Amino acid sequence: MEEEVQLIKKMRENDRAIRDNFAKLRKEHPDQYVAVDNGIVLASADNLQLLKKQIEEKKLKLATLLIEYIPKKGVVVLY
Amino acid sequence: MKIPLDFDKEEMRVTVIASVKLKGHPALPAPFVVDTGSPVTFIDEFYSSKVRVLTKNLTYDHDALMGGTRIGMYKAEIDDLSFLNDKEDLFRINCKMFVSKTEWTRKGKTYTPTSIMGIDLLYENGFRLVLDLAKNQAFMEKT
Repeated sequence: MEEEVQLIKKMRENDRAIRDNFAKLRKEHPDQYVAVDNGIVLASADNLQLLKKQIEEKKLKLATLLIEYIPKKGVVVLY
Repeated sequence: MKIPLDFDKEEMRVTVIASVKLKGHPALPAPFVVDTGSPVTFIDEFYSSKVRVLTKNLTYDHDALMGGTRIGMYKAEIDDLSFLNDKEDLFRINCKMFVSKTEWTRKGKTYTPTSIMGIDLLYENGFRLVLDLAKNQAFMEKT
């Protein structure tokens, strides 16, 4: 149970890191997918297939890796 | 008992991190967008693939249409979904869960690997959704 709590907290930190640095991410990775852990962008690519390949090649730890699409300025993502 | 939600002022959306325990697989934390426009709750396959749960091994259930994109929904067997409450304790609920496989509508176009927490989860678990964004308050509350 404690492990699950830590996983959620870690993922939440990664999510907040993206939010806090969104303007910077938009400048550096517009229209790209990024993989973030420990608050750091560990991989980035123009599409998810390439991102997945990078994740595998770099052998990134998956559990708390956060994947996010960074829209370029002027683009809004609807859900 | 409250479950805090995150209000993202940059992208203007409300999200929550939940731990998804799919049957026979380890717990998987995933970010969910809280979407009152969605009747279903689902986790994106890009996330479920982290624990090797792929839609090709699940039973197709129905299609959902989201912003012009057709999304295949596949039934997932789930033990539970867990959140951190306002005391940072784990709070578990039972719910229906689908795994989504997004169908490309236009070649080379973008889809976002988004997991959605829909109205179904709120309704079936007796949650009250509170969004008082002027006061930076966003949470679900068990009634």
